[in-house]
Amino acid sequence: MRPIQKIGLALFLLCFSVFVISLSLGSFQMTESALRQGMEQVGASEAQQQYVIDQLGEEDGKVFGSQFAYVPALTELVAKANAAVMAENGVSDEEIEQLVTLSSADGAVNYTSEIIDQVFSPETAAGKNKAIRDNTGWMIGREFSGVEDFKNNLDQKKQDINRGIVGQLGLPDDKIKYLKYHATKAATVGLIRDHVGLFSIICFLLSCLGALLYIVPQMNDGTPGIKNDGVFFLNVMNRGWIGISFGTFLIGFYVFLYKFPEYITNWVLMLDPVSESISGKPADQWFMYGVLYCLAMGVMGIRMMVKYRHNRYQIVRTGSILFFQFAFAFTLPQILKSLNRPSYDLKSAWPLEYTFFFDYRLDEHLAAGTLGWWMIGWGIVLFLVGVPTFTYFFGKRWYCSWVCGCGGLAETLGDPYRQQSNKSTRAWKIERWSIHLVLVFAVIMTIGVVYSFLPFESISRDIFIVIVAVLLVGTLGYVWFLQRKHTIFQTTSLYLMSGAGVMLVGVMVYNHFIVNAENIMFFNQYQLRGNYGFMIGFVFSGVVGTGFYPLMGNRMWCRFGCPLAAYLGLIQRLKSRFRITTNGGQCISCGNCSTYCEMGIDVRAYAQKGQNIVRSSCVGCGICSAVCPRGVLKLENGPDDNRAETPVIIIGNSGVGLSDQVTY
Amino acid sequence: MTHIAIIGNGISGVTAARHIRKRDSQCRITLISAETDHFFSRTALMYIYMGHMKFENTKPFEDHFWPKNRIDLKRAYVEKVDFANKTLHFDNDAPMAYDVLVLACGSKPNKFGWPGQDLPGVQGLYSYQDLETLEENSPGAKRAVIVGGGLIGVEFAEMMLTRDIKVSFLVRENRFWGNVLPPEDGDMIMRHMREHHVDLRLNTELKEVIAGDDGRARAVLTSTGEEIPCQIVGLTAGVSPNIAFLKESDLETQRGIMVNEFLETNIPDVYAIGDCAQFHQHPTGRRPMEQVWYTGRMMGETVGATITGKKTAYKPGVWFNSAKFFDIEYQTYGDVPGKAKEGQQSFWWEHPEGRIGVKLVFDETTHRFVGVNTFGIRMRHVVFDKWFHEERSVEYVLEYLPDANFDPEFYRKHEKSICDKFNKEFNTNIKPRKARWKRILNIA
Repeated sequence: MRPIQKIGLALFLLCFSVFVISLSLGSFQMTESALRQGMEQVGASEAQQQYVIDQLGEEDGKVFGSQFAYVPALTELVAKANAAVMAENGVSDEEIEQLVTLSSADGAVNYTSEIIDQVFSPETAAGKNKAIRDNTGWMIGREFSGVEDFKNNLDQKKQDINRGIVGQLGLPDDKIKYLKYHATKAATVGLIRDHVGLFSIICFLLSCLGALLYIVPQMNDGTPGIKNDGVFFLNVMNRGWIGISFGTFLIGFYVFLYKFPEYITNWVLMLDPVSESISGKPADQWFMYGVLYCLAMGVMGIRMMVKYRHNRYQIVRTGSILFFQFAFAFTLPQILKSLNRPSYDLKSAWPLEYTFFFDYRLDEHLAAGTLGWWMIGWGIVLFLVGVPTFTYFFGKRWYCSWVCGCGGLAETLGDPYRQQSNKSTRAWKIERWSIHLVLVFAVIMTIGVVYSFLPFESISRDIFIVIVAVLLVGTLGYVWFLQRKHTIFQTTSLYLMSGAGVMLVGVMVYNHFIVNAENIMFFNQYQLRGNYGFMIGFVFSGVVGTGFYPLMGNRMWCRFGCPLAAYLGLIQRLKSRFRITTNGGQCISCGNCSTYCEMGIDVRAYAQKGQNIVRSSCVGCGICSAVCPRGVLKLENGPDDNRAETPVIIIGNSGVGLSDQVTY
Repeated sequence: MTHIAIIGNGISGVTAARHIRKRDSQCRITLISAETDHFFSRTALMYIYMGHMKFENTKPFEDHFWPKNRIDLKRAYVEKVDFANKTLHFDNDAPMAYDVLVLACGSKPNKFGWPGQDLPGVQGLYSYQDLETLEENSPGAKRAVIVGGGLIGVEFAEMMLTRDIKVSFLVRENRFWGNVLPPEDGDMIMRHMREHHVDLRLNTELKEVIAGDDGRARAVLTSTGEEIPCQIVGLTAGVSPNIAFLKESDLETQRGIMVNEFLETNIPDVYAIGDCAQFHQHPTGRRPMEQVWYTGRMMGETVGATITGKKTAYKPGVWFNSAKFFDIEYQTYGDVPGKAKEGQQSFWWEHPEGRIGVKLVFDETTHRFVGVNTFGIRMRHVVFDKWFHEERSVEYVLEYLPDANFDPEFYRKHEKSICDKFNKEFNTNIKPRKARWKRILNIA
C-alpha cells in the first residue's frame, strides 16, 4: 500500500467514525419554537399546537443530552397534551355513568334525547352533545337486553368519540410518528447545530476523498487484469468481524431510517444547506438517504472502474448505473420537488415501485394535471411495453445492472461481497419459490389497490377486471405456445404458474361479477399494502437486501425478493435474444465464474457442458465473463431460437458425437 | 450387475463415470481416489492459493451429486491391481473385485534426477497435496526458483508473486515454452512476465538444489554456475504418467499405459484414459500423449460409450487449448508449431501496447488455413472448428475474422488493423466483413 493510500484509508476511517459518533453529539432543547416548528411540519393546527405548548411547564427550555432522553420526554409531553384534550373535550366515565343512571331509573333502559341534553348541556357542551347524538342516536328508544348491555354499547361509542376528538383536537398517532422526527430535528442545539457545515464537510466530503485516495492509486497496481488476489483471505469479505460489523451497521441504518428516524436527525441536519440549495427545502431523512446512496455508489463505482479498467463492458455499465442514479433517482425528483410537482423517479418501474398505483400517488399525479397524467402513462407503458421489449432485445440486464438503483448499489458498494452468494441447487430452489411468491403478492396487492380506486372517469371496474384477465390469460397462452417448440420452463413450473394465473383470474371474476365483494382479492387492500410495505419494502429490500451484503452476498434482494426481477426474469427465460454464450469446449471447470456470480448461478454447470447460460435470474453484470481465465463466456444478444439447447456434443470430440445423442 | 471401477477422480475418470451412468442406469460404478474425497478442478489449484477461491468452489459438482447418481466414491490408494483375478488391493481396506477397470490415474511432476530434488522446499504442483505442501513452504519464503518453462511454471510464478515471494524462472531453451510457442508469441509472453518482475533466466538449467543447515532447500546451482538463494524450488518441467503401481504387472506400459484407438489396454476389460494413457498410434497422428484437461474429458466421453456397449474410437477433433499467462489470455485452434514447419507460412499481428497478439499459420502454396494463436483477444471455438472442416484459406479467415471475435461487448475491435498488416505483407486487399449471426451459428 502506498503512503497516499494509507493516508486515504486513515482519513476515511476517521471521517466515518465522526459520522457515526455525530449521532451522539447533539443536544436537544425543549422550546416552544422547536415544538411549533415540528408541529408545523406535520400539519398540526394552531389549536393542536397550543395544547402541546400548554403542557410545556417546567420542561420549557430544558436541554437534553441525547435523543434517547429527548424523544421520551417529547412523547410524554404529547401524551399529556392529548390527555388534556381528552379531559377538556372528551366524554368521561362519569358522564357515561350519568347517562346510564338516568336512562335506567326504573330498571329498564329508556335512553332519550332529553337525557343527552340533561348530561351535556346544548349550550355549554355543544360539541359533546353533538358527538353523543351522532354516535348514539341510533340507541334512542331502542330495547336492550339489560342495563349491562346498554352500558357496554355506550362505552364502545365513548371510545370512538374520544378517539375522534383526539384526532381532531389533539395529535393522532400517525402525526406523532412524524412529529417525533421533525421536533427532534428542530430541537437540536449545540455542537452539530453550530457547525453544520464543518460536520457536513467531514462526514460527506472528506470521507469520500479519503476513500478515493485509497482507491484511485490502485490504477497503477501492476498491469490491468483480474485481481482477485486474497479475496478469500480478507476478514471484511469473508464474514470476519469487520464484515459482520459492517453488516450490522447497515442493518441498524435501515432500521433507524425506516422506523426510528428521530434518532438519526443529526445526519439529516448536516444536509440542510445542501438540500436548501437544491430544492429550497430543508433535508429530510430520505434526502439524506439519497445523498448517502449516491456517494456510496459514486465512490464504489469509481472503485469498480479502477478494478475493471481493462474491461470496457464493466466501465460502460458502471457509468450507466451511476448516470441513472445521479440523474434519474436523485436529481430529477429534487427538481420536480422544487417545482412543487409530484416527485417521481422515471426509471423506477412497477412492481419494484410498488406504490405506483396507490391511491395517494394516483391522486397526487392526477392533481398535477398534464404532467401527472403523462407520468401515469409513462409508468404503465414502462412496465407493460418497455420491460418486455427491452428485455427481448437485451435481456433483463438492461434494467438490473444498467439502470436500477438497487442493482446499482449492489454492483458498486456490494461488489466486494459477490462471492458470498450461495451457489447450491437448494438455494436456487428457495430463490424460485421466494421471488415468484413476492411477484404474486405484488400483483394481488396492486389489483386490490387499483380495484378500490376505481371507477375513475371512463375506466370502470368491469373494464379493469377484463384487461387484467386478458393480460394474464394471454401471457399464459403465449407461454404454452412457445413451450410447444422448446422446453422453456420445467413442467412443474409451467403448471404452477398456469395454476396461479388461472386462480387470480378466477378470484377476480368470482368476487367482482358473482359476489360483488369490495375486497376483490379477499383481503382488505389497506392491510395488504401495510403488510407488503413492511415485509417487502422495509425488511426484504432494505434490511436484508443491503444489510446482508457482507453476510450473504450483494444481490439478496434482487435474487430472492424483487418482483420486478421476477417479471424481467420470466421474460428473459421465455423470449429474449440475450444469453451467455459458452465458447465451445474451452471450459476447464475452474469455478471462477460460479464463485463470482452475485446471483448464485452455477455458471460452470452450463459452461462445462458446452451449453449457453439462459437463466431467468441472470442480471448480466458480466463478471463471469471477466473472471474466466480461458475466454469461455460472452454476454451477447443473438437469435433466440435454440439459444438454451444443450448441445449434443461438446465441440472438439468428433468420436463421440453427432450421430450419438447423449443428453448431458 | 456389472461393477465398473475407475481409478482416479480427475476430469477423465469423472467424465467416464458420468457418461457410463447416463447410458446405463443399472451398473455399479466405483470412483477411487487417494487424493481427495470429491472431484475438484485441478486447473484451479492456483486460484485457491491466490485466494480467488476456496477448495469448495473448485468442485464442479455438489457433494450430493454422487449419491444421487449412484457413483460410489472410495478414498483409498490402489497399491496393486490383480488383473488375473480382477481385484484391486488398497492401502486401507479389503480388496475389491471389478468387472471392468478404467485407469485414469493421471500424472506426476517430472524429476530428472537432479541432486537435492527431494529436499524439503522442492516440489511440483499437480495434486491437492502439492498445494498443501506449498502452503507449508510459503511462510517466510523470500524467493522461489522455478525450473522448466511451461504453463504450470507460469502459474507457479503468478502464485508466488501474490505472496510477495520473488521469482527466478529457469528456462532450458532460448525462449519460454519454445516447443509450443513461435518466437513472436513467446517474446510477448516473456515481456509480460518481466513486466510482472519475473527474473527470467533463458538457456539456464538446474544443476543442483543446495541444502541449508536446517536440511531444507537453501539455494539452487544453475548450469551457468550461479547460485541463487531461495526457499522454494518449483519443479514444473512437464509431467509423466503416474503408473508406478502398475509396473510389475502384465499391463503393457512404456512411459504411459499403452492403448489402442478404443482406449483398450492389452488386458481385456481394462481401459486407460487421460494423462496416463499412451497411444500406440495417436488417432490423429499427433503426439502419443496429450496431457491436457480437454483430451482427458474427451477420452472419458469415449470410453463411457465403449463400456456401455457402443464401441467408439477416440477421435479428437481439431486441436484446441487455452491458458492464461498472468493477465494475457491465450487460446489456440488448429496446429501452430513452435518451430516453423516446412511449406508453412505464418503471420503475426501485435497491438502497439504489446499485450494483444494474433498468430495465423497457413500453407505456403495453397494458403489453406492451418492454425491460430490468440493472445489477449478471445475467439470462437465453433467458428474456427467450422473453418478447419471447410478447409478455408487464410484470406477467407481474415475476411470473416469478426465472426470469430469473442471479446466482451464494447471491447475495441482489431480485425481491421490485423487485415491491414496482412495486406501490407502479402499484397492482398482483404477487408473484414461485419460479423453475422447466420454464419456464426450456421443458420441456413
